[in-house]
Amino acid sequence: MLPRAASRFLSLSLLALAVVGAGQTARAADSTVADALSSQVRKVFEDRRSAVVKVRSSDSLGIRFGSGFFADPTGLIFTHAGIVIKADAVNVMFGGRDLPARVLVADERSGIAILKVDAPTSSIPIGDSGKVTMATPLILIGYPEDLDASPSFGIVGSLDKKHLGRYFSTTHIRANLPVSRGEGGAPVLNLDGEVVGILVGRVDAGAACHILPIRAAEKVRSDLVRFGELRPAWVGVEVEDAPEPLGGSTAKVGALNPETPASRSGLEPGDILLKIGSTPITTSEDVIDAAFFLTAGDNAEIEILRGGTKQSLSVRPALHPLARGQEMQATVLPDETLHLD
Amino acid sequence: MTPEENLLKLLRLKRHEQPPPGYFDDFVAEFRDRQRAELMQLSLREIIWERICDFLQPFQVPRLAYATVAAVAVAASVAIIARPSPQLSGGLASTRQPMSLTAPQPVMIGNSVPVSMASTSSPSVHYVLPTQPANYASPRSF
Repeated sequence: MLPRAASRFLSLSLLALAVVGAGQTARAADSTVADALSSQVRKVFEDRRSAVVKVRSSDSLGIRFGSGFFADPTGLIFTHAGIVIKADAVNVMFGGRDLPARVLVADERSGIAILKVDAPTSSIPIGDSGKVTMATPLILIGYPEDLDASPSFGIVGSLDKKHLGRYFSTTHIRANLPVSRGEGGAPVLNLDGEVVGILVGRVDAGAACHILPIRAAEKVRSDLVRFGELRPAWVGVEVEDAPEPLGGSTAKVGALNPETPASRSGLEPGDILLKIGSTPITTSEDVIDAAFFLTAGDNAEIEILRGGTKQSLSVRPALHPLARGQEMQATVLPDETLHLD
Repeated sequence: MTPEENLLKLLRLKRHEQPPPGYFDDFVAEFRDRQRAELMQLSLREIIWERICDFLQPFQVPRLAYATVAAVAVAASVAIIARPSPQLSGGLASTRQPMSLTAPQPVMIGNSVPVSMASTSSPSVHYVLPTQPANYASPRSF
């Protein structure tokens, strides 16, 4: 039996040892997590960098640089529309090569453009931007200014429908991820190396950024493949805010523009909008996303609440009035074949 | 007696008037107390101004000089603030700027500012990443 003082000393020593050990374990765990994250970012960068390109365009005013990436092995490139709009010539640089590229479409509504080079290429697999939520880790690979390709790491801060009081064409991902000029059009990937968005804008000086979800970019590509041109939809419904939610929605049909699909659809002023196409509606702001993913000429189901009863109406949207005057349409020749993965 | 004679008589009496006994015993202390009380009523600005004037008095600077210096300082401040800053034009259509070998001017394309315009012989270079999104939709119609 140990003397009392000795046993006290021994207990205190064991306690101190346990505390120090726990601290060391925690620090080791932290460094293990940090190392794993760093390792994963490095791995994604090394795996995908060959599919990220530098885009150069020129016109009478000067030269523009940006970033882009191959979305499929046939040389199809997603990039930022601002790089190639009204450009006289567009080139794409990757793997030591400098190839001319054709602008298939430059969509000012979404802010992206689709290019094509005549060469087999690597590509980045398309991920699911619908799974992106706050704090989802993201990796960007782009060409900042005149520097070589490099990764940037951050997390999703929010999903924004508007910025500085003005609405986007569809919900954008806002990421707390440092970006630089020249990285417009760069791919934004998840930790699995799948692209979930395209960099389209920076917030303030570049400590954060806005990203177009890849789902919206794929809508642009889908229209291009199906029709050879973009088909933004127009139904002709003016939306108001209901004073209180009905059926979980405050979006109310305010008025129907005459001689539009809305006037022939069976919709009536006062109908509460519950779903447009595949997009659930809870507020009038949700209408923006719903409208973006409608296609002119494709039937869409609109679910409404009228007099306490749910109804489903079918409507065939027309081509958006602004699209009819758009200069930026596809330049795909009828015999061109574009492939969707 | 006329009012004037009464007044003269009163003034003659005043000439011989004396303060009560002991009036001058605490005169110095009371004077200093009054002076201290008046000083306590002065604002900080007045005290500082008084000290500055006392400091500058031996230098024999004319009063007008202070006003002159202050006016010049105000005029210079207004001239600096009101000087127009260099304007950067916006949009693709209006990016032409006079080029100069000695003073390179930035050229704006869209919403971003290019990196540099080094000389008259090389074209302007612009690295794209705007601060404003491409499109602003209205949530009130579809």
